[in-house]
Amino acid sequence: MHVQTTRFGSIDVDDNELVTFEDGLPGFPGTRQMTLIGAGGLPGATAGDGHHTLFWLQDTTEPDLAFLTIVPWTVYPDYDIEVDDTTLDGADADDVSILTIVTVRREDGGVRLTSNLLAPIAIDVRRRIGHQLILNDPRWSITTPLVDARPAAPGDVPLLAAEPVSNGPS
Amino acid sequence: MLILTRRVGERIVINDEIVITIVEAGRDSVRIGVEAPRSVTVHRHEVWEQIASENEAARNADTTGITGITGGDTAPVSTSSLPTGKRQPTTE
Repeated sequence: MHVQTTRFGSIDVDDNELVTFEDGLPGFPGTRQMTLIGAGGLPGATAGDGHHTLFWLQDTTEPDLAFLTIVPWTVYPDYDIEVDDTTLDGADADDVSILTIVTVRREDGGVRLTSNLLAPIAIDVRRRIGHQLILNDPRWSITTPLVDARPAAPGDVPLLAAEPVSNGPS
Repeated sequence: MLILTRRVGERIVINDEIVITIVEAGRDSVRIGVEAPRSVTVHRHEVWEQIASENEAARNADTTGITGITGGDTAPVSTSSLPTGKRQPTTE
């Protein structure tokens, strides 16, 4: 199918590769079909297998609805969430992939990157079903600082010190 | 909305599988116990709201000038390119 996107223009997506979020995501209700778009990786993040470590989750009906996500273990080696057969409606744990959403906040003088480790995205890659989990674990924050000492490259905007961003009471 | 009066120690059963117990009642707050199958998600509403608001903040992130993040020159990829299950690094 053809998908109109704000970021990527009109793209061709294999209907068999769409990920269905039956319950939508918090704040974005209704059944949603999303497509995955490789987005490279942050310098210094271990990729493994030469794969992308960043992915866009692009909605197929709202052109400007896309989430940048990361394979969390590439930057948070201590992140451990229990994935079992109850994580995703009976999906085999071996079929479940975990991604966490990255927030980019533009502030005076640079950008602040955080990732939502409290509410990771779980995708059953076999049935292509997705769901945003809400963990009940005080170790993980909605705004976990992402990447501290990345080597600056020419043209880079400054990355602000990665300190927790206030997001209301936690 | 169904509104019920319960005393401490009394319970409510929902759908034959979710049991809610009033554990303790104070002047301004109550402690509630929830027994539910693992497939049922239970969380405080304000946490859900924070996540909804963070999702809104994350929507369509502006990645201009951030090295390594490709913004518009990539193509859809298969879900099979995602690391899963045992391929995910663990801390063990």
